[in-house]
Amino acid sequence: MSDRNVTKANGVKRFFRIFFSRGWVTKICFGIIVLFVLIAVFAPVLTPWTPYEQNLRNILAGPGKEHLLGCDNIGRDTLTRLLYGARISLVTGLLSSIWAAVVGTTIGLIAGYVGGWVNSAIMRITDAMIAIPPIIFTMVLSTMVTGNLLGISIVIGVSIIPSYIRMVNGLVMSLRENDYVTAADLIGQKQLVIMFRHLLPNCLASLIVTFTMNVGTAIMLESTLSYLGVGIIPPTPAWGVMVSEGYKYLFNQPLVAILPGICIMLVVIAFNIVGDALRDALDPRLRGKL
Amino acid sequence: MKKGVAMLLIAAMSVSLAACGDKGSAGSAGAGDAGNAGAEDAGSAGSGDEDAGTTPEAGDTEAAPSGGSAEPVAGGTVNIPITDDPTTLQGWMMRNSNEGVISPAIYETLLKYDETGKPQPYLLESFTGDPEALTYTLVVKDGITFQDGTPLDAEAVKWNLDYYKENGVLTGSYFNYVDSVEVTDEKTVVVHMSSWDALFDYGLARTCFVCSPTAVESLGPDGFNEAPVGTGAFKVTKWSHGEGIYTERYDDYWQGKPYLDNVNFVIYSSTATQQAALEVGDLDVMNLSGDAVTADALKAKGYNLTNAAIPSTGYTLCFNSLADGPLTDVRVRQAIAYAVDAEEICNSLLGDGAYGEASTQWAVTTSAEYNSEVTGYGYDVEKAKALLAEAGYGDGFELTINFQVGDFAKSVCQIIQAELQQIGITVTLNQIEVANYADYLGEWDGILFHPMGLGNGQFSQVAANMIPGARFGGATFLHDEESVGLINEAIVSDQETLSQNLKGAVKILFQDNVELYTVAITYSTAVTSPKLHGDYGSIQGNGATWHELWKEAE
Repeated sequence: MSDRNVTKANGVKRFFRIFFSRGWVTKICFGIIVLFVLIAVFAPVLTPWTPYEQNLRNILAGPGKEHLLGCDNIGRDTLTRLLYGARISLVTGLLSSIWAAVVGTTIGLIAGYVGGWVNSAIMRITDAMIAIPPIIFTMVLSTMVTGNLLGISIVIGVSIIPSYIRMVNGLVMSLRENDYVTAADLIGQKQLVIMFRHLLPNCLASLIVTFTMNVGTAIMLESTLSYLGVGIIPPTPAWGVMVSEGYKYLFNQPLVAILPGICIMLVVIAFNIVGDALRDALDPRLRGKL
Repeated sequence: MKKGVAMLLIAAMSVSLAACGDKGSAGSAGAGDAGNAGAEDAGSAGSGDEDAGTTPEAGDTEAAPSGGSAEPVAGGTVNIPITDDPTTLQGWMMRNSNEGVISPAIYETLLKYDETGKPQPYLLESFTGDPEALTYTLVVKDGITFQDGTPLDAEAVKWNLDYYKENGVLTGSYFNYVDSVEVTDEKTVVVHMSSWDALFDYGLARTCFVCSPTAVESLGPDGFNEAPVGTGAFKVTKWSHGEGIYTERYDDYWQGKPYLDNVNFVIYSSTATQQAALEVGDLDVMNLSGDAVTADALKAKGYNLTNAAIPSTGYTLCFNSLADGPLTDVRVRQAIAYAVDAEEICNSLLGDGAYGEASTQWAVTTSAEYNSEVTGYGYDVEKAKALLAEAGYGDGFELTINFQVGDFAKSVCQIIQAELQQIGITVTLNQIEVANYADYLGEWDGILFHPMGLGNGQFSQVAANMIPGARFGGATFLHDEESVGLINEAIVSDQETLSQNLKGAVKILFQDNVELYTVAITYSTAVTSPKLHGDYGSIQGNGATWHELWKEAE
């Protein structure tokens, strides 16, 4: 193994050591994310039912051998819908965060590196977007899409783009004053090369942390929109939809509303805590146990 | 120091908890503090009111309660939930479900449906029609006054009929043939018809809430909207938009002084919050329609359940048979009818017939208006697929089902969505808010899952709605010559021909053309607190006897 590879391997080992040294809470949260990812991937093999299959004779049936967590208000298997719901939540969370990261990072890089009026214009627009509460912003935008997964992911992504712009812009403004950037400029490297080869890699650590935390935010937003009836539309088994539909039966069959609520809570908390741990692992100044 | 602060906090918390625990005795109004404030403003005090717990004074005209064995007591406040603000409190415009809960307490109609669904004189002494002379003669009862003290006389009735004809929400359905209204003496009004309308009495009983002309003219329509004045047992004292409507008893009510001091209609948007409020005593009534789960749960907890005597709502798939697309083909509409398992939907969602049933039309088998020749379409997926293939839609198509927000409608539409998916039809559900629903009544895309009010029976609804120019489905129903001819002939005929013709129209609409497909017929179920006595009854069809309601003292 070359010295470079050894150094890299040591770096990864060190990263994981610091990451997991944050205590059992981080480990559990990391486990929760892995578990939900596995559930999302293997949902069809984990249950004999489909999320849309209804048996009107099982309406609001309690937990039993056939339906482990009972059935919902039109006789669909609650466990199956929870498992498939993980797909919707994770896909929406990841899609919206990825597209927001790509767009937000690019805009933030350009604004920060070019500076001047371009920076001022972009940042004022960003400030305006940040000033609007994300839920209001997404509710208005969601009326323009038809409640499909892609449309809702784009809408949620738009609402979290400003967080990337602001973060990357701040970093680039400080990084561009470094000697290696000046040197690259002096030897005639193109601006795009400087931005994407020299500046972007130095933003990656912060980007990873922001991305992880935004996945949680995006899942929360998707669930809220679906609960309010402007997100994923029924019968798609989104957790927010399930809470909305089950809420009415809170007193008579509470599992139907409570279980998806618990899933939302677990995933959002897990992403936030893992994001927090990542930040600490990537920044030696922030270390401690949760 | 810290201990002292802690003790103070504990003491404060104890006082708060004690105050919360005493909520019931404070005459709660249901919408939290705001609701209580409103109730107090309206003169409500629950058991704290001076009148509460006392028997009616001798000489007061008090009606006997129709239910319960205990001695009725005067006073107290009853809180009834509505899911949203009404769009209007103007008597001539009220129509939607929330307005249907409020209106019978404030307003009354000239005629009222009896337990068989036939209109009978209510504010009138008599109602007689003369088909030869094309007139209806209305004689007003003595001693009825509006809540502003003005009398209900022939002039007031004429004013109401004229005003409704000009401005009423259902004038196009029920007042088409009203030519003029004439006052012949202090108590008698003659309505001259341009053409005979044998169902005019159904229209008068369903809509046209009688309003005080003096109040409308002095306040203007907008002012009257905030402070409506009718002849009902309770008068509005305050409409707190977004919170509720507060009323107090009208002491000079013509059927006797009401027992209750106040009836408040408080906004609780969901069934779950309504149920919670009922169980802690913030509400006294819950109106359920098509919710067997909640009804059964509350019944098991000792609440009184009353089903209306006549069906309240016919949940119907109304096809847009005119717009370009698959639904213009009757075979497609038949296929959809075959693919929907109405029997199973009703059995599972309506407690095996306890709260409603399946039917092939807008009437139940025990009704005189039921047409047994309408056999409907039994659940048969293979037949549905074959019909779709025959119509050239073997690969399916996309379809929108529009429905008014509501738990029952949402559940049924989701079931239908899955059932239609089996034959390749991909359904998009469009949930419409109550306030916007009226915008969809003239024309809709695809199918409208409509809660057709059945308080006035099938004949009245078919005659009023299934003709060209009617507000409902004017641009979506076929209005074929045969059915329209039968309806037009029916309304100018004697009762026998009317019945025969309208049953014929029903067969064309529901069976032959499949313009309408009834999924479920539900009965209004009133869940009332064990402390509430009297016959709250049905909320639709003005069945409640408001002045007879009384509540046990706290």
